[in-house]
This record gives sequence, structure tokens and C-alpha cells, in this order.
Amino acid sequence: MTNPIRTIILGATALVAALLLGGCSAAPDVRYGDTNAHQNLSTDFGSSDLQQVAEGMVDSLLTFPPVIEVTKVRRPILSVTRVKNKTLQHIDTESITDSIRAKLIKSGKFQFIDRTTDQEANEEFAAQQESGLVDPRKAVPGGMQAGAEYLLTSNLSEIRQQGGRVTDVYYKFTMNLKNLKSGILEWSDEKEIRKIKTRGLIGG
Amino acid sequence: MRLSVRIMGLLLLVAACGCGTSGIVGQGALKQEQDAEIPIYKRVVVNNTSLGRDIGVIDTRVAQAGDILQAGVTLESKTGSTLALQYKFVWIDAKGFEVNPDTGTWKPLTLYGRETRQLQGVAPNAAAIEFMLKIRRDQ
Repeated sequence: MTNPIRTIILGATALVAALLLGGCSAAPDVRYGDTNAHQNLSTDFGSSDLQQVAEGMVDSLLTFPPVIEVTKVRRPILSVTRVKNKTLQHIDTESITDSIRAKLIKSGKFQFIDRTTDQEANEEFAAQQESGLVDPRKAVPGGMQAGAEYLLTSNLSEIRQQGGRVTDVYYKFTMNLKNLKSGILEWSDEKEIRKIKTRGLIGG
Repeated sequence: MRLSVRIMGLLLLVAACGCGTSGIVGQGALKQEQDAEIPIYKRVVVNNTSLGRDIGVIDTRVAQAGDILQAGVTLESKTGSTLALQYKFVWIDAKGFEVNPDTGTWKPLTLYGRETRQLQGVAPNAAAIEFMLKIRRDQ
């Protein structure tokens, strides 16, 4: 073997080895991702589905003519209940309602009652009223909180079908706005999402 | 007060050489004075030949739901095949600031061959007076 050929072979071997070693580097590939990007990694209910559902529901509620009429003159007080998860997946449904509530508050059209922090509020009331540390003239009086006028309720359901290599999952998120005084459903809407996964011929 | 709603349209196609870029950007605004209607072909600037070949914007319009801005952009597919795209609306206030920046979601859009579809968006609050619609290929 001549010298130039040996040099080329050695050089190519060194390059391949460097690439392989670089690829097997101990440092993991960690980077920030776009929180608003649409990612389809599986047919499971994901972050972009949550964002789509929240945005769709808020858009629908803000543009519903009777709601526009009511919110023209005042900010109605709402309470939101936890989503009834009728899917077979474990989904943090509270984050769906949290997103919807945050968007509605930021719209400037609604006010919300938050019952999830009542225990902490009661502890604070007790500290103000009973600990003797707070000036009674500056303590917040109890029994003055506002009550919700409307209740936001919601369901999330799925229909899953599988045939051969194809998995088809249909999600339906339904939300209702109930007038607590009259019991009338003032608004209702659905958001549908369909995700289809086709498995590769080899592997999963 | 009923505002006379006109579209101040300016549609730009920005270069989208990679999948992480925003493909088409369409803009509209709510104005109180009357604008001369600008033909859409003059409001469309095509810089991205690939995406521009496949889809076109044929109409943009704005309206108000109460004091909240609503936008509609009509897209048409110029190709016979199905396109997998993503879009999001961006809202701008009177001072030129983006309303609730970094909260708009990229939504999936399947545009079938030769299909015409109107995309609609609702501003997050009453501060928005202009919108932009961004469209890109699905990643």
C-alpha cells in the first residue's frame, strides 16, 4: 500500500471515529422549546391540544352575542368546576380550566371565584381575626365575599379506533355556562380534535 | 358607536427556508376612516416561492364582537394535494405592542387540494386593534 492511500485511509478512519465519538457524547441534548409550537408526538392529549381547546372555548364565549350584551355593562362573576375526564388517559384537566380561566380574566370581561384556595383563605382569616397580631380596624371582615353568578362546567371525551397500523383518536371537549340563579344554560360549545397515528412497517 | 370597519391589508410572505420559520404573514387593522379598497394582488408580496406556489390569501376582513376584534383570512390552495400547515393570529394594540405576547398557539390546518377556507381569530381583549396571521408548513 502506498503512502498517500494509507494516509487517506487513516484520515477517513479518524474522521469516522471522531463523528461516532461526537455522536456518543456524554452531554445530553437539552434545549428550550417553543411553548406555543404544535407538536405531534403521539395521539395522546398533549400541550398543543390543551392550548387549542382553551383558545377555542374562550374565543367562542367572548363572541357569543348574549354574553357580549351582559359583559358590556359589567363583569359577571364566574366559578369553574373541574373537567370531567371521560377519556382513558390520565390528563391534568385542571390545567385546561386554569388556562381557560386565565384567558377569560385577561379578556377583562369576567371575574372569577376561586374555591381551590378557600382553605388558605380561611387560615388567613383566622390569623387576622384570632391571632391578636392584626389591628382589628385593618382586619378583613369575614362573610363579605361575592358569590358566583355563573358556573362553567366541562367534559372531555374520546373515541379511539384502531385498525391495522392506524390509530384514530377523536377528542371532544364540551363546555357549558350555567346561570346559577335561573338554572339556564346560557352558552355551550364543543371543540373537536382528531389525531391519527400510522405506525411504521418496522418497530412501533 | 358603530365603527366603520375597513381592512387595511398588507400581506407579506416572509422567507421560510426552514421549518421553524413563519411562512406567510397577513395583516389587517380596524380603522375608523375609510380607506380605498386595495386589490388583494397588491397587498400580497411573495418572497417564499414554495409556500406562495401552494397557497394564496384571497381575502382578509375584520369586525368587532362588542369591543373585541375578530379577524378572518380566506386562504386558497393552489395545489391538488393536501397541505399540512400551521397558523396563529398575533394581536397588536394601539401603541404597536403585541397583546399577550408569546401566548398565541400554532394551530394545525389541513387544507385539501384546491380548497378555500376562512381562518378566524378573536383578539384576547379589547386592546387589540390590528392583527397578523402567520402561516407555516407543519413541522
